[in-house]
Amino acid sequence: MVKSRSDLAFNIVVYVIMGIVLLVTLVPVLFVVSMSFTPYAEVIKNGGFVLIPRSFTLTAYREMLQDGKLAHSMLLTVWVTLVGTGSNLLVTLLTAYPLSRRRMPGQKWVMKLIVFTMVFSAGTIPTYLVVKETGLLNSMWSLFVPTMVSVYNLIIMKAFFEGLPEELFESARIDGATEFGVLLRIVMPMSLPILMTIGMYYAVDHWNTYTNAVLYITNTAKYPLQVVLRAKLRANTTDITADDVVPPETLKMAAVVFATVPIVVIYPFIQKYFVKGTLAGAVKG
Amino acid sequence: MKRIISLVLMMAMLFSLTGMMTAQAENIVIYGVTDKHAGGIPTDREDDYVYTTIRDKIGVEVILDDLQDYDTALGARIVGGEIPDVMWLGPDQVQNFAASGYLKDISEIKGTEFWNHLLEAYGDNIDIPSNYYDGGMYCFPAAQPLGEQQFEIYVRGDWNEKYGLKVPTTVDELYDYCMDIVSHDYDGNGVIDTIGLTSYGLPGLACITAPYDVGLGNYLLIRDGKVTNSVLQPRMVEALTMLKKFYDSNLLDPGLMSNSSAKATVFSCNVGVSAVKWSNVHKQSYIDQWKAVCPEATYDVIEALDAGEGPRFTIVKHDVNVGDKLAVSADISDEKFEALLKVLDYMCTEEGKMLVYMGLEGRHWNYDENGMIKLVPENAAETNYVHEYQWLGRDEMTYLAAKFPEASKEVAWGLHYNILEYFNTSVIVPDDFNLADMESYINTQLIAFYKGERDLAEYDQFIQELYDSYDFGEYMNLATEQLVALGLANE
Amino acid sequence: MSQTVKLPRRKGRFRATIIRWWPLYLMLIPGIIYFALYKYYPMAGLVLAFKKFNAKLGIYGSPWVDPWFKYFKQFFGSPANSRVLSNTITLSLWKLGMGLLPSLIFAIAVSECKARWFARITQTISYLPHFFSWSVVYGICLAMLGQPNGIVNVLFKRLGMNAIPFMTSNKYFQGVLVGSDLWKGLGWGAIIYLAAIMGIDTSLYEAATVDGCGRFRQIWYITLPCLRNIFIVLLITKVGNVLSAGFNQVYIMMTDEVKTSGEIIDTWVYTQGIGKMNYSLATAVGLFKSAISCVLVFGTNALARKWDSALW
Repeated sequence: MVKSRSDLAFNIVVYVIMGIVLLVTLVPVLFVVSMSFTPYAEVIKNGGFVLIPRSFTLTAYREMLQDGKLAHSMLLTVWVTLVGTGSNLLVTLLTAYPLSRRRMPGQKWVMKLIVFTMVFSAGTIPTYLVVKETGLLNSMWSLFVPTMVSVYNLIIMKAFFEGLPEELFESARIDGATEFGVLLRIVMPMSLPILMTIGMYYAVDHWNTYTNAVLYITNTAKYPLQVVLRAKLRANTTDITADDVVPPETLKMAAVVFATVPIVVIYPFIQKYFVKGTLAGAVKG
Repeated sequence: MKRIISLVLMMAMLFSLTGMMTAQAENIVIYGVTDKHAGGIPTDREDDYVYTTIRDKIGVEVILDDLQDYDTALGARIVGGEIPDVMWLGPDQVQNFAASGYLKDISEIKGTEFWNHLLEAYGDNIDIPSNYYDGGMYCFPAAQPLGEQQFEIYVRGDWNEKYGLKVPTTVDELYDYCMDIVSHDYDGNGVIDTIGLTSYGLPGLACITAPYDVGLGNYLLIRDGKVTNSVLQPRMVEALTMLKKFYDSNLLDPGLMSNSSAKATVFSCNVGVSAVKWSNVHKQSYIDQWKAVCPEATYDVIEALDAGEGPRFTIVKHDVNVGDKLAVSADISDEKFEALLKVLDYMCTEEGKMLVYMGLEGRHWNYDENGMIKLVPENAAETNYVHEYQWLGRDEMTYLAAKFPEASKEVAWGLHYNILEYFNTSVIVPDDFNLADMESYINTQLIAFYKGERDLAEYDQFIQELYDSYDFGEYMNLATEQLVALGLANE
Repeated sequence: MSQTVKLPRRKGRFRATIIRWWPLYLMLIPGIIYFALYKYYPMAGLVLAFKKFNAKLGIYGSPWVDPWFKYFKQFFGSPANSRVLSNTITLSLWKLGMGLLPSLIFAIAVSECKARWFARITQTISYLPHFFSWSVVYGICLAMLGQPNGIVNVLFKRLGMNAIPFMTSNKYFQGVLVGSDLWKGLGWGAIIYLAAIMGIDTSLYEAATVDGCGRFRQIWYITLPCLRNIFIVLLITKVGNVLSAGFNQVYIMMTDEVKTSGEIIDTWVYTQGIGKMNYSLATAVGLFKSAISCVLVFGTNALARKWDSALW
């Protein structure tokens, strides 16, 4: 086959796009990471901007880690992330799958009602009262039960299920598979990338949970990670007498690195499933 | 995986158990919330020496939580019926919460022995109108930290000396001084890139406008016994013209309006004049930071500037003691309230006062041979949170002098100067008056005027817009009425 | 008359439906309980929009406001209203477009990139900004676009051009908001498209290659049509947010200087109710926003039916 000129042009376009994206994201990311490791005076000397740290300090990280609350809040957050993501995925999956079957009577209505909750939200106070009535106040469960299903994730999952070829279901049914069997043995294995993606969306939300924690966790000893981190950032800015040895600018950057690390660790494992065509073979059968 | 989850789960449960255990006690427990976000109250209550001292001395346990996102979190608690015994509230909140019946009317403390102790310890000017709502007192009077708008004007002492620059005394001279700075390479970095003047937003620009008897924003002033407003002042246009001159000559820090900019600019030693708070420059930890950038730099305060009617330099609120205060839940039991008064009474004694100011005598501070307070630097980190317990405020001068000896000159300088005094904090605006919109319009338009986005010839038209669309007239009537009633103005 | 005839037949059909579909209905139960309990039940609290809220009296015990539209009047009657509304709509329309299209293009580029390691690294780095808090993004914007030391302006200066007040001028501020939002969400938004591209049958591409289709045309005739569904689904969900232009971002990045071009509905509500527990105003404005979103979402969905991509 002749490598056409258009093929070359195509590759150039692809690499130019990738290059631009890489540049505009890499520079600021480097900036954030470097700044978290560089003494503030050094940053200022450089006109407020460093890409490669020339001198190195861990004070920002030490300042964050020496707080006894941090380790504790991290454990809590890990728990919420694991248990929360698991249950979110399960309920979302169980809701999305039936809704992807358009011939199921009532599908339209349930869908409409669910989408309606996306645009009409009850507001902070009424939701808070329900959380209280259901006994979740001040428990870690309040951090994922009231947000069990995200309509956005549900819709995306449903859209993916709808993309699966209809013949699959037909042949499975002829083989006598139950609906649960179809879901477990056909739909789930074929939807791994989307399940992973949605799972990651949920996990990230839990790892960074903030607003709900501030509202529903009334015992400050049970604050999750992000709340503790932000309290740390605000600590030194409110009273003139507070002494901030580590400038908040540096702390802020370290906090970002902190919040990002887990996802950087996890994503490559998910990326493994993101290879073009992995699913195609299965679908053809 | 399952094992890990169950392990994590168990640990979480254990933690919550210990959390519950600490809450049990035999003493009377007062639960309070605050938003002061200091270095953080120690997680283990036994490490919190303010708590243990009060418990051991008075027999009352004060459990204080510093909440993140205070307004939201407190609001949710009140809605959920879990009003903390005591809470830290801003002046607006005191009015609003009192009107809604969430707070206890504490007027009964007036005239008691505690009341006398309070005024004696914290000053007799702390009993101010904003503590009251509809005749009842709804928060404890407190001596407030220095006014928010306080700043000092700094110039580079080392440059003045080295290059023989004349320290400005009038606004015109300030302009020439800044012009000189931006057109030379005094910092010797090879580029002419020095910034003329930096400050904090509109209030900071008062370093230029205050000499004209003008503040940039909605400031209620009293002149010759009459209530007026900064935007109505005769020299406003003149002040804006001067400001425009600064702006047009690129003398102002472009990042001036964002709060974070000034400090970074000062630290970078790349600015000629900076109107900033001493607490952002002259704390030892900060001095160390900017000295690391430019070891030769010194930031010297200068005299306030003059624009023909004597030097005047900043805008401050008339009632210095307006600010966040301690309020009591309407649902508090008599027993708890009594215990609270005992705690507060202790804070009026010299010993209690020093505890919430500086920490423990011997461990965190000592008296030196002259009877002056000296801090113990090794243990200073432990005192980072004590100001969360400053429920009755603090005597700022004693406090700061002991805590920041390095800034004694700057602190004192700020206090004894001609200032532009405004009275907004003594005026209580009804709930349905839209003050936010009016102030935001004033601010954006004043900026548009000095940046040349709006022609200064339209200034009268701007005032007319305020009357027509923003009920400015009603606001001024309201203010006059209240300030006259308080005896601050005649008409 | 006709009803009495219909009833028994309906009942029969109902039973048949249940028998045919019960496993699926069973699966729906947890989700339905969740939505009923945590979404629909608290919706009764929307009456707050018409009440003068007092926490002690509770939502239902609080007195009605007089007149009932007081909070709506406060919103619509504000002299800032038209400006705030138009800022919100302009901003969020831009964000909508910039949130959907560049991510799509980037995702296609990643999937077409032959050097896998390069694709992986680029993709991983590109989604990192999603995790940056807005105050950090603001810091980055200042370092890049600020004056006088922002990188871009230093570059301009070297090239002999005038500095541009990106962060402080009403002329550029909306652009900065849209741009930083695009930057923050670009890589993260691409993830979902990538997942969709993974699902495309590779035999389609093989067949196209045999037919002599270049890769540009493969994208046009295979990839894009296959992504149409997910694109429309994303569009529908995002259209609902058209009146929320990103509170956190604007709140952190806005100064008085750029309020004229930057103030949006949510920041306006925030300044009105600050510390006053003014939940009623927030609820009233929320109600208005919801009503508009509702029309938009259901309208877009009706349109989407033309391409067979509707949600229901």
